[in-house]
Amino acid sequence: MAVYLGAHGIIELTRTSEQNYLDSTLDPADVNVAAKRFSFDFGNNRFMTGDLLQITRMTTAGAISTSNLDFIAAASFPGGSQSPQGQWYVNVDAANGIRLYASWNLALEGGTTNAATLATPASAYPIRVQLKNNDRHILGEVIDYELNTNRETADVTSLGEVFRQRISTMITGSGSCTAFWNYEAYATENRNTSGYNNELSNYLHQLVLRQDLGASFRARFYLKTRFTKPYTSGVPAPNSEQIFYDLTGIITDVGVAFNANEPVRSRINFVTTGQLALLSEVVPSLVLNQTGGTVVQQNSSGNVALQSP
Amino acid sequence: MAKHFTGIDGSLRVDGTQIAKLSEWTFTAETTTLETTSLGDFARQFVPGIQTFAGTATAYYYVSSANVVDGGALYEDVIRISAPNSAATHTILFRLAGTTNREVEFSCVVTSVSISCVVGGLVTSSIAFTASGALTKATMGS
Repeated sequence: MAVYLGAHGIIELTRTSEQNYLDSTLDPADVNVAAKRFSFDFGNNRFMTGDLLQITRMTTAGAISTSNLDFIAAASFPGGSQSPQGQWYVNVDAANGIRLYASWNLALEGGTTNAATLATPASAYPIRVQLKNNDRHILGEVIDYELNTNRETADVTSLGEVFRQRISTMITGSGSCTAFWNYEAYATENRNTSGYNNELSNYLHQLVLRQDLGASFRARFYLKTRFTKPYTSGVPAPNSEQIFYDLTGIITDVGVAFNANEPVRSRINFVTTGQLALLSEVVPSLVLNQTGGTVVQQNSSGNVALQSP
Repeated sequence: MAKHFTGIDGSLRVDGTQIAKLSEWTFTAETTTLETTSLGDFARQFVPGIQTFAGTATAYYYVSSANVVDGGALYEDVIRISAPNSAATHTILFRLAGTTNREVEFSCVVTSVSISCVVGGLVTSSIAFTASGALTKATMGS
């Protein structure tokens, strides 16, 4: 019999707003070219450092404009040329000023060096800002988590029957997690899986307060990661299969408690919305690298190189 | 296959388009009775009279990504600044989906729309309609 310990549990979090968006107007005075910083009319906690925002120039009639977002330099667009729409990671400062970056890591670092170059727009125009699905990040410093799935039933017992009859109806999920409170997300190698960046519980504190865009998130709750080793004897070595719940959740409660002799902990409760799936995937044994235009699939015994002739 | 039906199987279509965000529908069919009891009878006797078909639906007030109000055509039959339509304008189809779909379909007159907005709750609308003419599909019992 194999026994799995909770020490290998992981929550992967994906920032999302589930297609919600915010309409606003960008004024020339909103853009500080020298500081590579701009703002528009949005409230606290609507956007957070590390969010992946899609900014779209709109017409006054509410359609997507054919004019470019002229307040961002062409070289700072993902494709290298201006367009009416683009996506950037953002760093949001305490005064709700925004800087745009090409990657999550750079957005967390902030500063002007790697920020997108801005220009003063020729006129004021409406923009639509949508929070796009971000990369998956490990929720760091988690102490425990639980996920409950509930299947509702309908009683279809008929007259004359002595045992109740039920049929399955709707599926719901809910859960909670506890994490040490911390506020500064970071990019680093994770303990169990390489190349992951970390969200911290303060993001969930902010999420429950987010106004227009809601408090939804996407997550994977792992039952088994590829590094999980069961505590047993006489069974094969653990395979690379990963098993996890994949869900979209909405934060319902966030609590934090201070005790003089204990670390500060965040307690987060959530309910799921939409489909809740229990999935498994086999992690590929090859690692994909790209260096200088060459895509290399690599494992411990050698390389497979795919190269242009 | 033997089967109970639940809300998972239900849907409502207006002019062939399914209402996306519906939480409830009801359908009622009635027949009036005409009494034919004669002197000397000791039990009342009746024959069927005129049929009436009506329904209600409760929907979430929902705007699609194309900025279209879900079921908006029904709202505009009664929430309008011009005179009401002079004839039934929409076709309503109630469906219980299965291996064989069980359906009723009729041309309808929207008799009421009630939109409810409460603090902390979703905006919902209650729509009532009555059929004009005979059912054009009636497979709920077959």
